[in-house]
Amino acid sequence: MDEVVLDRLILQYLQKRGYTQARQSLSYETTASQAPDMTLAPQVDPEKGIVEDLLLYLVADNNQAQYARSFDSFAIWVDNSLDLYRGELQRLLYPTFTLCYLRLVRHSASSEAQQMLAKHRTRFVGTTQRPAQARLQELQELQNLSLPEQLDGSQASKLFLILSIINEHFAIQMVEGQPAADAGDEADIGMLSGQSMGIMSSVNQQELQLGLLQGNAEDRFAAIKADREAEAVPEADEEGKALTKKKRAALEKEAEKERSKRHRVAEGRLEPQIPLLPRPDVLESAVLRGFESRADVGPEALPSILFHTFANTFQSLNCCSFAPDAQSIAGGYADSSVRLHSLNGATEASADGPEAQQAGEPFACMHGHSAPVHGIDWMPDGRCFLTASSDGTLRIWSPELRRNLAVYRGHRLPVWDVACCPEGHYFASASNDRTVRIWCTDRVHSVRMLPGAFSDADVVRWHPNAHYVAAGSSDRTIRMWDIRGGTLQRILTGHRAPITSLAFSPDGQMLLSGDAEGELLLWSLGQAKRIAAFHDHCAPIWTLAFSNGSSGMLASGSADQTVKLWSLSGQATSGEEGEAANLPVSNMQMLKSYRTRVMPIFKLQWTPRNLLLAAGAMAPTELRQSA
Amino acid sequence: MTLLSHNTLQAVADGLQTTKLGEEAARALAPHVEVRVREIVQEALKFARHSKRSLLTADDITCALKLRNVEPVYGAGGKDPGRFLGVGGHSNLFFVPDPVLSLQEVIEAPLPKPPTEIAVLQHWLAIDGVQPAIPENTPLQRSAKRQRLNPPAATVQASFRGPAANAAGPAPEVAAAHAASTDATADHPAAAPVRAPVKHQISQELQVYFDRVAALLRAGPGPTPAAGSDAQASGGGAAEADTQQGKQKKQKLQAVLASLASDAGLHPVAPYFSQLLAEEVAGSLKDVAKLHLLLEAMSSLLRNPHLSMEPYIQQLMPAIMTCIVRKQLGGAGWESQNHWRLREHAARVAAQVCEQFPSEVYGIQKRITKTFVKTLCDPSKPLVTQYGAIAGLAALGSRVVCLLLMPNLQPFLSLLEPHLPPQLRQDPIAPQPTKQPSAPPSAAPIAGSNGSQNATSQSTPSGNAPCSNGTHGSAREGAAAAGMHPWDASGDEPKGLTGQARQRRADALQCRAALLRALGPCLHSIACTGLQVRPLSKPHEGPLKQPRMALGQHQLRANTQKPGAELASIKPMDTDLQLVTVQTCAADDVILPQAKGTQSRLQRRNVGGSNQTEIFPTQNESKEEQGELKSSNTEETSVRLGNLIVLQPGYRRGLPLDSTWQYKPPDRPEDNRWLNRPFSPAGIYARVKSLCEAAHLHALVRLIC
Repeated sequence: MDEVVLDRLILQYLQKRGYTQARQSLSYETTASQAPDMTLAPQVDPEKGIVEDLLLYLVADNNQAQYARSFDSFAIWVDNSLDLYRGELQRLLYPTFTLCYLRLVRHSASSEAQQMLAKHRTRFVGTTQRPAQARLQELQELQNLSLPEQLDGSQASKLFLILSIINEHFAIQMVEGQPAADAGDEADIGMLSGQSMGIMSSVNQQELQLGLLQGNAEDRFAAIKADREAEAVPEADEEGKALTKKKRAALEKEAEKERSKRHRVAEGRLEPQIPLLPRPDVLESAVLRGFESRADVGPEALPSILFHTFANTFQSLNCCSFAPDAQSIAGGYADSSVRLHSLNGATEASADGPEAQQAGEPFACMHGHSAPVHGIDWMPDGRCFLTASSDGTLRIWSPELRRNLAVYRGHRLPVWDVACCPEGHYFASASNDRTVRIWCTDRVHSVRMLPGAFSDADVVRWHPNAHYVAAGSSDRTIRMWDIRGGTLQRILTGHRAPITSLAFSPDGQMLLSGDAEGELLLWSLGQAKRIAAFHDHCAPIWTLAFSNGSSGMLASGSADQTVKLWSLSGQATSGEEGEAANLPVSNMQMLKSYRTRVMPIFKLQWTPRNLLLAAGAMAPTELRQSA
Repeated sequence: MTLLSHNTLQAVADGLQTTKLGEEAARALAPHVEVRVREIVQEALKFARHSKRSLLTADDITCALKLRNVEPVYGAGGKDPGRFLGVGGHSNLFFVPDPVLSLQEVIEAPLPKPPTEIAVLQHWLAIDGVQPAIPENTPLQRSAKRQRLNPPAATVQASFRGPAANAAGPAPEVAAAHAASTDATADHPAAAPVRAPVKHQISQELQVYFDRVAALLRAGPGPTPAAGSDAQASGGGAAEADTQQGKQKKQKLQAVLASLASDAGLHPVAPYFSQLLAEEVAGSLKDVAKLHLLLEAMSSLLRNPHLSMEPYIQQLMPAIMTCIVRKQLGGAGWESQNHWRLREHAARVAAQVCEQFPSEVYGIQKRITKTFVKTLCDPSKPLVTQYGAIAGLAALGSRVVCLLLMPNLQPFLSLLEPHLPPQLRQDPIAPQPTKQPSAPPSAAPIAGSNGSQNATSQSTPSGNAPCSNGTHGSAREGAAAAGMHPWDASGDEPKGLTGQARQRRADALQCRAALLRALGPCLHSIACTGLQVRPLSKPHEGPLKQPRMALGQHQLRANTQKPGAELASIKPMDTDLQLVTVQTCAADDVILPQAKGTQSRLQRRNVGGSNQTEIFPTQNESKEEQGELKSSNTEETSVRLGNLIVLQPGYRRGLPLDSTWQYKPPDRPEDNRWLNRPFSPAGIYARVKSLCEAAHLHALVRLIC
């Protein structure tokens, strides 16, 4: 850096501060070398911090006002720009504003900052209903910051205010062609997620293997069915002996087609690359029986919903989950207990096997945790279930023995959610310590630790092929990891509130996520793009569930005391036929909404026969009134 | 900006008895404290969210504090929110009361009830996509039933929001359920013994519901208030407990009635309810309070928008009719009890039935009106029964009254009159009252104007003939002026009567009051045609073409072109009781007859020097009168003001007879000419004459004039 400039800066600084003696002595020293007029070189020097502070100080009070002024002129410039580009430019305003504000606060000019906020508040809050809510909250958060000490203060400030802010914080890409249409509400989605765009795009460009596992239950069932049909066909042939050659040829052709199709399907399947336990035969047959009696649901054949109300909980029920055979329901409570209710006498009870009859007493209260239980999930074989608690532990329970089998420690802070692998043996947990961990049932320590979220990991779910887990976080992002290497595979931004629920589509191509403001987003995992957004719920969506089979129904349950049914059709084709370049067309739509009397919906689960089970606790009156 | 001011911080520091916290230090500290507090609240919100609650509780804060290794605030847990009390003298200083408890007391306090065990209940939220109408589900929209009665032109509710979309869904199911329940009524041997019994299953919940409600209805509302007050007199604590119990019971009953009126999914038990109610009414004719309750239950069931009571009307109707026209209602000494109200209540329920099933059960109204009219004209029936008949007809609305009650007025009056006190007897040859005050001179022109129409009164010289309408009225005015109740003038006479006769006279008075009340709306519409209505604030600019009654805003006045002409005024009293008095008197001598002998002070003034006279009571006076009317028996009031036409459209809240009634100017041109006529009995007479036949008109005029 130019010595002269530095000297001069220091001189001015000293003068401002009133250190006259020091100034005099310094000026005496520097008078010899007269410098030309100072020009502020942007490439100042390595000791940026000091110089910057000096510079900032020099411009003094008018400088702080200058932030506001330059933001004003920037806003005017944007407003007066060509209509064509205004939409895109306007997206810059809000982030710039927040950064300006923070900068001002950092330099102890909170009053100017507040003025600026008051001035531009309407601009950011005014437009539409929805983003206004989120914005309002953010602006309020901003407003609370008034002292520089409250900021982290690690960011360097630069002299060229707006330009430096933009250079520093925005990844502006120049794109040839027509400007994008004004996306309105969605304009700022993905901005301010705190994640560098570069990292995000590189993460999201990774290849995924979203195919289902080889030999998964659906395929096995399809194979068995096909075999049976194949057996039936020759019989028919024998009966109708007078088949012409043509017909036979046609039949053979069809069979060939079928075979090739099956082959192709098998190609799309993923070979298991993680050790999996073999399935017991009893379970296998039970699963297949479930598939056999499966009812097709769809927009024309709406499902039945069986609602389970937890009475007398006094708001202590935190979570609940149905056993895979729908014979019992386990609930985690705020008093750290875990209760198991047998649903004997339920509609499906008699059909599903003799175990239910042995269950004995209909109700068991089990203790083990030392803090509220927040997450609960059943292993797919139904022989045990896992719970996650505020005490930082996970426990596995046997409903048969009605006791705790093992405890898994590792998280230091409250564990919010637990999810069991669809192939059994593994399970994943999401915690307040901002990590997701993968565990095996036979090891007391976690086998993978998946950090990355900027805030709590709130909810975690397994991909149907058991090779990926996705976690929704309080930082409003969804992250997906490959558990083989523990690598981050996807970052999905777009929610405006903490994620409260996740669900993978049965074919593994899509992800559905619900947030605390009742917004429902549908993602294509392959393209890492949002396909559709719905805002039909007006309260946190606690649970999402896809129906079994290819019927493409899904159900969402929310704190607004409604269960909504959605149809999602046509997505399978785009995935299978390899048209990866095009986004799948979103033809998801709401079919119906069912309001319960006073019960928020905590859990939705489809039985193998496609009966929808729902559960919720009765909300007391005073809470309802306040809500 | 900040939530915490430095003052708060200083106050807290003082409370913690730390060393004195200077203001500057507090100012510096406040933002930092606030940031920490916000962090904790944010953390606590996470706990609330993961407990699937939308409300932050003290426990969440405790958890958040624990998470940060901060000692939680003790004593703030539990379900009840902290109660902040204001400090006297300071507007914004609050504290949490922290009373000192005696350990002894805490130890010796009885254990609280153990909480009810958590249970899981199952019900169908949807069956094949259709939400069944069962009590566990939220009630469908209110309009569901209306839609079923008159299918709407287009109920395209494109949105899938809320239960509205399902409104049309369960209709077939409901119908099916009704079919089932009609089968169930066939179960009762009394209803149809021919049909083979059909097994009718009721869910356990409904069974329990029915049992509980039935038990409550069977028990009745318990001791009457009078008995309660006795208990209070006898002993303090026990009485208090009693009243508290009574209060609880009352609340319970209200809840039951609300549930009957609004819950969906009651149709499986509807036949049982109707049977229960019919039986209970038959079994408890001596308990007026219980009968009221049973009627209320019937009315609730009828109101229920998710329930069609159509199949059970035949079962309920006899019970309702019993409550209207039965001679004895109530236990010993029933004559003195207020069975009148019960009759009116039952009449309202009957009217509700008629309104609700106009087409489906065609002929209900026809049948019951037939009963009423027959009762009315039957001299062998007791007066209380006839009262019921009048009330029943009145409840069905003014049209029914005009069509059925008016033509039968004369025969009924001839039955009634022998029992009335002599002043009210319209018979010209009735004996004169013992004390006859001198008639004011102004009575003469009125009698004259009246007499021109009435042959009998014309024949008798005015002033000397107390039996003529006009003078009769002025006689009582005189009594009122003397500060006496008009009947008190002849008050000695009833003493001579035997107890039975006195009872009959009381009944007759009640009947007459009921009659006046029933005729009120009809008369009102008749009378109004002869009056001019204009807003009070506006100067009078000739008669308005379309007089519309809006009693709260307008005052009804007669155009008094010459002294001695008729005056009419409507006094908006309150919404409950709107009293229209129309009086004929001289302009110089304006005295309104009063309730209970209070002297009316009327302001009189000339408007703008014109020849009009406005008469209206002063503000406080009208209030006074209003209060009095409220406190006194309203029926009696209307009788006492008998020589006026007392028209009470909004007689009592909830009375259905005039809720929809409003004055409409007649369509025919020959009727319209009455609009601009100054009001006079002659006018009424002619108007009524054009409406009714001469025979019963005569009776009407006898009644009202």
